[in-house]
Amino acid sequence: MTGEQQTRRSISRKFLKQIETEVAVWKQRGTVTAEQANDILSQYVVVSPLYGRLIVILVTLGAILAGVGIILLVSANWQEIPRAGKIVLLMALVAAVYTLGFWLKYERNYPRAGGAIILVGAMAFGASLFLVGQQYHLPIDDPRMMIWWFIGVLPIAYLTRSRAVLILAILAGFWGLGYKISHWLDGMSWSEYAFFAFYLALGAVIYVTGVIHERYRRLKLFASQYIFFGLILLFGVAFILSFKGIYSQAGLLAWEYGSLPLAFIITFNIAIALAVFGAAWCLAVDIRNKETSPKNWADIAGAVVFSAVSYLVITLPFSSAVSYMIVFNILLFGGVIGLIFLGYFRGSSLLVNTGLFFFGVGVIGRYFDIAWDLLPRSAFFIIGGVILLGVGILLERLRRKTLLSMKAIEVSDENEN
Amino acid sequence: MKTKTRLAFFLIVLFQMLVLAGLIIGNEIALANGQSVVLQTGPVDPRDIFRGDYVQLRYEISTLRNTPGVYMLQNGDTAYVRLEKSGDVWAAVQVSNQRADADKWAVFIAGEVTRIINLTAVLDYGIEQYFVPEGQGLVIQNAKDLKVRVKLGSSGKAMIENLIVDGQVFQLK
Repeated sequence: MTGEQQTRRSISRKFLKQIETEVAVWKQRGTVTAEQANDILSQYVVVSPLYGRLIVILVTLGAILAGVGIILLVSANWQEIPRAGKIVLLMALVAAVYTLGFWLKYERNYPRAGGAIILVGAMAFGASLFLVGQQYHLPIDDPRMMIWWFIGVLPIAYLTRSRAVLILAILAGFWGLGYKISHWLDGMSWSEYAFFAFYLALGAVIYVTGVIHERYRRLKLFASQYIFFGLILLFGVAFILSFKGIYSQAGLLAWEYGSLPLAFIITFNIAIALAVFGAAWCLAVDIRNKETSPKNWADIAGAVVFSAVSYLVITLPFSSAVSYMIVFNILLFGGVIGLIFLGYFRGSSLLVNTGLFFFGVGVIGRYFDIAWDLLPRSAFFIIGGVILLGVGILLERLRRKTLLSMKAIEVSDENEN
Repeated sequence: MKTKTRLAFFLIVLFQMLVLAGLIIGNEIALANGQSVVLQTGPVDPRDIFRGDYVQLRYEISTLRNTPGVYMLQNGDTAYVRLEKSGDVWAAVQVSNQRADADKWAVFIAGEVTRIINLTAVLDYGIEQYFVPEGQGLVIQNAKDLKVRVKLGSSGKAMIENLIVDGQVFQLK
């Protein structure tokens, strides 16, 4: 195989057809010679999308299995090798796996398999951290290990443009931060309020990070991962806080914002500041690019509203539980409807599907809230079952209609162009 | 471009190796130095998904009842516990949330207050888990007497040195 053939780019059959059509036009106009036209076309090779996807699925599953295997190997706590030897061995393994992944991805042009092996390297780095924790009997909820894992693999995700490594980094960071927060709030009564407030603010930060990524060509690849995690956090927490039983009168009376640990308050306010700063950044980019339609900034404003509401949770200014329930139901359902509309106008199935999911979950939540005490149990389950089926059918219709009309808009846009 | 990517990639890998090396060196230094004390403890046996089997330890000094100074502790405080040798183990004789107090004592351990009920404080010292080879937790679980030898750093931070099961040092091969 020649070097030229090795560097041929894999594209879909549809895209090759488009290129062929364009090249034919250029040839006709005399923009390129017949030789140049052949040269352009010879740079591409058709790969079936199904085949490409199968490779990705296989190598990613393989990577996850191998990574989990290494972690399990560590957790078995093998005693045959002395402490230092074990750690050095695992470090050597991490370096070797990374080198192999890099070599395959960049030197031998196996981007998918190479990328998957780099993912194994990132997991093996985590396993090495756990090994250190195990060998020195560090506390299992020690957040440092997860946070080092996050800091270590995040740059790998960006450099190798790997979404799988990014997801691993986000999960590790989220886990580590969770340990840290629970450590700070350990032993404090009603600390769940502070937890919820923090995760609401964190959801806003992660969402806004995704939106910033959307605005840069080179970062766009990672936008949907952040947006998805952000939305799950924002709406997940809003959903939990929309239940009337979450706020107890005793909790509201006993709550003191000032008694929260200083480190927690600082971290919480940093999260809010980051969300607001990120939103302002997005807005500045949009103004510079003269793209200031509500379609662009509505969700950023929404994220800022969500993070502002987290102050309500952490300071608890209202004395009645019902006030909070009302605020969070408005936030949940208002947010969900806004998200569906926004997804529709932007043509984003991610936003529409997430919005519809939380709409369904929200309706079911309200049914539990209202009907649990009022109805006899048999009626509760029968009516609940019927409501679930009804909501399911309604959502399926809505989803199909919305996604179909989004496709129709795309087709008409293409025709106009 | 490829050279730059290669350089950046291997710099990140090097950074990861340095993180691991730093953690190992830091822990080895803490174990090599510091005051050695033996604490009385008792086990519970759970499992961590990442690190495998471990024995959950609860020390006699984890719960301070009416210990002088306990009145000043609050949830989340860093507490400094003065230790004195009593028989073959070390026991808590005084507690404070002020580092300046601790600096006057000969031997002290630092922990975090996780619960306060009247004049009883529950503390966490960061040495509550002891990781064992798969399936060996039961030996420790069934022990009649369990002690832990810990190393105390100058800030009072404790690290597990070894476990003493029924008078014998537990051998991790």
